[in-house]
Amino acid sequence: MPSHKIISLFLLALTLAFVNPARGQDKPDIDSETETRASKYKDVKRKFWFNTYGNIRISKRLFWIAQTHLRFEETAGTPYVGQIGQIYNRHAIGYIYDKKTNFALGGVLRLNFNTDPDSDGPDLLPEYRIWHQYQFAMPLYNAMAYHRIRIEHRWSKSFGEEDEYIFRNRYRYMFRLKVPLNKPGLQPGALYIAPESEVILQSGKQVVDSPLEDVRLNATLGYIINPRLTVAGGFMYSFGQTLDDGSVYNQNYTFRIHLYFSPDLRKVKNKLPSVHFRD
Amino acid sequence: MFRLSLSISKAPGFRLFCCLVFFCNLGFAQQIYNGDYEILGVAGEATYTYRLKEGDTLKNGPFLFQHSSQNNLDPVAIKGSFKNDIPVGLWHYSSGNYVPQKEKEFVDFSFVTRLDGIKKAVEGSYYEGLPDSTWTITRDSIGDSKVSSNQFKSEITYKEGIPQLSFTIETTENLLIGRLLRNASAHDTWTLFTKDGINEIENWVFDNGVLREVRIRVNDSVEKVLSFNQDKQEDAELIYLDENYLTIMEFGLQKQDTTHVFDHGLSSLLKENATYQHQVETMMSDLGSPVKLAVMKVKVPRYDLSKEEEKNLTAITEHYEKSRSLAGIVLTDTQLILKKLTDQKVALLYNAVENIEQTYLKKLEKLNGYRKDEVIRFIKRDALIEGLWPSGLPPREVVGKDTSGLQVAYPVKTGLTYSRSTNKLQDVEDMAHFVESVLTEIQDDLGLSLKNLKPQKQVDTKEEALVQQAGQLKIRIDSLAPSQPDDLRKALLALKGRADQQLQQYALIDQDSLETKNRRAGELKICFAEQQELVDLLIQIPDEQEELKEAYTEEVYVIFTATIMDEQVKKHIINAYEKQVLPYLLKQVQEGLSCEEIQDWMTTYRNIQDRLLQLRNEDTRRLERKLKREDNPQEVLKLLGVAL
Repeated sequence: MPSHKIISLFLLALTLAFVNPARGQDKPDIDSETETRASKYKDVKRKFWFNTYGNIRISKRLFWIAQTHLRFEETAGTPYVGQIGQIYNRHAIGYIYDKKTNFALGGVLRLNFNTDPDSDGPDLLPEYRIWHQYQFAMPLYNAMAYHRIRIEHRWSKSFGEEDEYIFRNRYRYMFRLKVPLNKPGLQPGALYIAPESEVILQSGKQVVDSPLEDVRLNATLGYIINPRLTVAGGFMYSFGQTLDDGSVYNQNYTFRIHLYFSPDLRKVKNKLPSVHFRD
Repeated sequence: MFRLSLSISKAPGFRLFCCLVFFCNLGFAQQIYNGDYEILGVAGEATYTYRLKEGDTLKNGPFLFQHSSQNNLDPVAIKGSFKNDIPVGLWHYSSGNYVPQKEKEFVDFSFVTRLDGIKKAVEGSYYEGLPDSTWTITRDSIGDSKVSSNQFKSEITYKEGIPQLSFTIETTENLLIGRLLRNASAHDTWTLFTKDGINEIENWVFDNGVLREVRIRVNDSVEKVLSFNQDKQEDAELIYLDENYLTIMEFGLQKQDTTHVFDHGLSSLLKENATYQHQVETMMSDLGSPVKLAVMKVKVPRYDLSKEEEKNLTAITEHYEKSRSLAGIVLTDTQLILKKLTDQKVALLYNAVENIEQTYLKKLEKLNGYRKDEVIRFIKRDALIEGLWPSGLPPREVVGKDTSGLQVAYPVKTGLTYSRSTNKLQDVEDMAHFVESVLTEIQDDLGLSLKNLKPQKQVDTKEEALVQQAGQLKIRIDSLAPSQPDDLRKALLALKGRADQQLQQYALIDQDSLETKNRRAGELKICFAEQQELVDLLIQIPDEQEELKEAYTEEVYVIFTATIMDEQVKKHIINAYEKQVLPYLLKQVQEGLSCEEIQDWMTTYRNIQDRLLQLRNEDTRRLERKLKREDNPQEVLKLLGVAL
């Protein structure tokens, strides 16, 4: 199974990523550092995301991924939805290798809003990404398990006046289960529960001691309305190192609403001219 | 040349020679029969050689009987050989029940109808009329005109008529292995395995023909053990292991046997095997060459019948046979069947007879059967009576019904009584006597009523056919309706009610207006036939609905879940059909269709089906939009383009 090989390689890479050979050589320094440095967790930030996911079938094997995410976050006075944080546009062309495997390649335009009330920087900054993704599904009894590997090449800029665009790579691995609760399988009318966890690692010139950008733990409840439409909602806890200081961790509580739609643009049948029927 | 032969033929010596040849031929020469033949009421064609000996036909040589033709779906074939009327060599018996598939297939420039069904075959050899070597019985399931699976297979080895060593019977799920002694007695442990041969489901432990113990696996950890009373072995008798033996054991075991071991498992395999063996035996007996295949032996204790009990049984049989014939006369009388719909007295009496048949005659019939099969002397009398009537003999009361179906007690006149809680055949005899007396009373009563019915010879046969037809219709509806969805069940029951109503109206037609009665009988005949057709069509609706749904279902690959899901397309069409059209049509049936309307209704229904299948492949966007807004079923039908 090629998919298994790829997954194994990726997991190996993930393990190696946590082993830092440079640190191994400077052991005495680490000891002295740990005496003075300890990891710190920032206060939890509360957020709300409304995400739409479109998989638009354009040919037998190709589909167009069109995702728009509206991400809100708290303000001093309003939890979760106080202000808009980012608007996210993710597009790609996907390729269905077989029923259980698909790949995608595309770009992201993210609009980052300045959410720091004390900042003098601009209100809005665009961020650009190129991304590619490899997804493998595995049937598990009546449920489905998914491995998703996503690699992103990212150009982003912070809101400081001096800040320039920086380039980073992101390596993301997500494991997700979808377990139907009221039906024998994932089918129309099925309510399903989807536990998910994702690790996001990063690298780049500016990434010095913060390779672990984010760890996301989700629980989602979804409902398949029909093959073309699914809704889901859930809660996510995430944490990760800040870019400036690897000992400082961000924490987030995020409520998420998802809308999945998958129209099929291929269909030509049912559009045949009526022969017998004149209404 | 001609002259020479003529002169020879005139010689006295030659004449004598010819006479000798002629008589020899008459006595010993083989002749061939090729023509119609009947075995056990099955008509077919036979080919065999025979010779005449002292006026008797002795089959000698190959024998072939076939009951098959192009349209025959129940073929029978028998093939073997005789030697002086005694079966010898290899014999093959086969029979089948097939159903043709709906669609024909085009093969080699001809249309071929494939068959589904069951094929049974028995094969084995005879040595001088005795089964010898291995006999195989098989029951195969046939699909697409091919053997799709073997459902039953038994292999028993005989030596000069006696089954030897071990035998096997297997089904799709189980395998039975049993052992026999040289005298054909059951011996050692007979085991029923699961097909993989790993789990033992049942064990029957025999000891020299005597069944000592039955062990049944209830689940992985629990085994139920049934032990048999081993006393009275001195009065034991060797009998054949067949259905009768299983009946005897069942009676002996009824108190212990809560799992009804004789209804399934090992017992049912033995029963099925014995049934096939008996079929061969009766066929051979009908051919004039009796054989015995079911010859495994078992030992059972004997409980001889006392003279008193013999007398009781004889009397019970007499009472039963008389009662059966009295009940038969009443229950099959066409005029009574019609009259009971409108006449309270006839209704009470007729229904009382039906009640007697259910309450008394069925069990008496069983008892009578046991007597015929000579099994009663192997069953303790108290066990026999308790087995047949577990809660004592039925109470001494007969219940009838009035014309509206309400229960009414029949006033019993006879003073005969019997004791309900009993273990004596004398009380059963008293009960049988009581039943006969009540039936005689009823017949006398009806005799009086019958005199009031003027016999109408001309309409009699028509009436009889009519009542039979309505009866069949009602039986069919009763058997089909309970398993149908609510709407359909109501429609079917409405048809049944309608048939009753029509018969009732017919019964009310003045006896004097013969012409009207005759005409109405003719009309009703056609009407009932159409109703029968309508019933057949109605019960297909759930399947056809499913077919339609399937036609309007597409498989969709969903990338999000990486699974395939079914998607209903053109939902408004199917919704309009299921929520409006079908309920509307069924409501028409529920409210009662007149005889004239039935055909139209069926045509409309079929047209709708055809139209819906057509619409699947047409552009229906506009139609769907219109259907979405429409809630009048008649308008929906118009939109679909089906005329009412």
